[in-house]
Amino acid sequence: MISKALARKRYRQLFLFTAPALAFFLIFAVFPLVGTIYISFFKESKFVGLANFVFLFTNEDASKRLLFAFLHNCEFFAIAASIQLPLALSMAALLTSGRVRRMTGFYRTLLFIPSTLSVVIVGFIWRLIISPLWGIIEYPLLGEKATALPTITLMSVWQYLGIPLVFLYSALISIPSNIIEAARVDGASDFRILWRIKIPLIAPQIGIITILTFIWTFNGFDIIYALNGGMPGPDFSTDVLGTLFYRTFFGWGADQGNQNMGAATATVIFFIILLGTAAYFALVQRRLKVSQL
Amino acid sequence: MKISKVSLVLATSIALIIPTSIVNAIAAGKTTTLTIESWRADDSVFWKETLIPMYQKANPDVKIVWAPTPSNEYDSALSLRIKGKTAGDVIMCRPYGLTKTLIKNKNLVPLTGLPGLTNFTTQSMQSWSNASAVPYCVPSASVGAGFYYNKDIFKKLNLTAPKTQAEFIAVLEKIKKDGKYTPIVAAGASSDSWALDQMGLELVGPNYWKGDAGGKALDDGTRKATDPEYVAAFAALASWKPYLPKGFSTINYTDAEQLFILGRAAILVEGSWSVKEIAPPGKNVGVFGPPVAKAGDKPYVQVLADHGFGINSASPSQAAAKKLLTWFTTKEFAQAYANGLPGFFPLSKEKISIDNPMAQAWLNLRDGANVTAPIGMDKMNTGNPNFFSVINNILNVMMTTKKTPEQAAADLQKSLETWYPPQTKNKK
Repeated sequence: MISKALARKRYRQLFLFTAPALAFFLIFAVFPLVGTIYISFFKESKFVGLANFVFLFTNEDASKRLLFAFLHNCEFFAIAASIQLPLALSMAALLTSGRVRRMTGFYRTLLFIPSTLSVVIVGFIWRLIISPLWGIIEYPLLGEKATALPTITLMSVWQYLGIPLVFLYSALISIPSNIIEAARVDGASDFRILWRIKIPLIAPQIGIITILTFIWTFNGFDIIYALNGGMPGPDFSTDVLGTLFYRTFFGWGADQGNQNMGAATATVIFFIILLGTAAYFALVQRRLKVSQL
Repeated sequence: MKISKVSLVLATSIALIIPTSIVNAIAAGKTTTLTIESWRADDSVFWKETLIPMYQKANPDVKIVWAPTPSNEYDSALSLRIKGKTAGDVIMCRPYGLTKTLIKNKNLVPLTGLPGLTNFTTQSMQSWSNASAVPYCVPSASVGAGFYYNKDIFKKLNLTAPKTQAEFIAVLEKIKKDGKYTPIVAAGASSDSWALDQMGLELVGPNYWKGDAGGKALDDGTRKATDPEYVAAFAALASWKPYLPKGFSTINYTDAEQLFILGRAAILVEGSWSVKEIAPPGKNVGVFGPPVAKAGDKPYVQVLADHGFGINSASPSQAAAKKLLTWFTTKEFAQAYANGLPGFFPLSKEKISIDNPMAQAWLNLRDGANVTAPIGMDKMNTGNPNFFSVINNILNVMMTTKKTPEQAAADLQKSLETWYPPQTKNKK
């Protein structure tokens, strides 16, 4: 039997162990978040209630920029999720299928290397590769409104392919081999094993990757800023919520920054991501059946 | 044991910290440190190796720190640092725009009575003075935009620098027909869209809107951007379109420079500030100004009072900063500046000789021409949105898509009518 004193001591230990992480989280995540929401209610240190948000949603120019940035984020997410996930899954499946006889570790490392590069380098290399002037493609992919955002998304997909890949790879190799052997004895083909056994077993991981992609694309900023700066063109066609926030908060070129309006923009972005994530967990993730082994 | 280890670590770190802080304290007692805020990272070497040692030699009690910020981020970063009271002592002033805001918020110290300010014309003081002509910055350099041309290519194709728009198009047409070179290159990537304004519309436009008169009419709202003189200016810029390199919409500022330096483009649209990079000694490069509408017109040449220096009102070293600014007004400084940074022309009334022949060629463009300031800078550039961000995007779209000059001018007018008070009355 555990005495009361001992239980208290355990709790104290528990608190001690979590305290650093908790303090870190409170100081660097909760406090700035609350602070941001707080200053979004002000205008030049005067309390104005929801006026900044009203401006953001009703001003002709501001609301247009916000809507377009949101739509561009949706496009960013749709392209990234629909290409990156299947690609990572098929590569992870290939690497774990036993068909790649040699050097799986080498391929795995090779596919992961781009994720370790700086986004500035990735942007710069790809910009040169697809430059009509110095590169291999005649068409100005980054200079046309229709192709600019998909092109940047694909650069990003290329860079971060390794992360879902490693995630799925480790999930796939943790599937007990006896199940797969049993299926093989029963005459199931490789594809059938993947489709009917492996994928259902790693469904929760696929779900997590989807939601991580959602958060990552809606917070996306770095590669677009590195390539196109704070007013990402052509004609704002690559402007996402992240760059809109940056421009509003810090300013760009002759545009002066506005901290309060920027905080309001950041708050809107926060709620978009919060709602998206919450909806996903409520509607999808909970219903994913975790197959028990 | 544990405790002693911890205290040992503490003692060591304290021992490491104390001497440096003592040294710093002693140093601070002796010398004053002046930090200069600037967006000219390109000039760092010149400042660190020439100007700063030059001043420190005569003033050993002052230590000057050159602290540049990337140009696109300067305005916002400086505003934040001023608000947070962490900005440097001496501030490089933008013409109009941000400087006017800083003056309004009392972030700059009025320079009335600063010895040496009489060395400058009132015109060169305009962009950094308040409404009652109190100066806030010492003007240090003006720049201009124009066309660099590769003399070898021109000679080979038997061409001469054009003076009128018709000659200009004829030259471009001939280079295009020859097929070996890109006739004209400029920065078309949206990330450098400022270039199509400052070195595009503001370069060719004054010949059509008649310089400062046209700028003022747009400022006052007495004329609209859709009036013929402005549309003609847009059209003059759009006339380059057939002669620009393929993939123009992805060519950024550096790409454009490279294309010209490598000898693949015959004409480069650029600023006088790039003399060192574009026309190093031995390169056979010439320069010509904006072509006039028809032969016999007196050309309008854009001169931009590019930067000056002011004092941060929150600086603790006011006296030392004032002394430094006084030095900035001297002939010694202007002479060193003109030759160290060719293409940046002193605004001083003193007679300054310019060693660099290319920089001199740029300066000669002003001979016999009407000198004019860029439009939109003074009044339209203080708000949000502002003239720059709007015109940059409009010009980028016009030059990279099928948009016509008429449509571009209409876009500008429509935008001005929504946020620029003197123009809102023109709204139908």
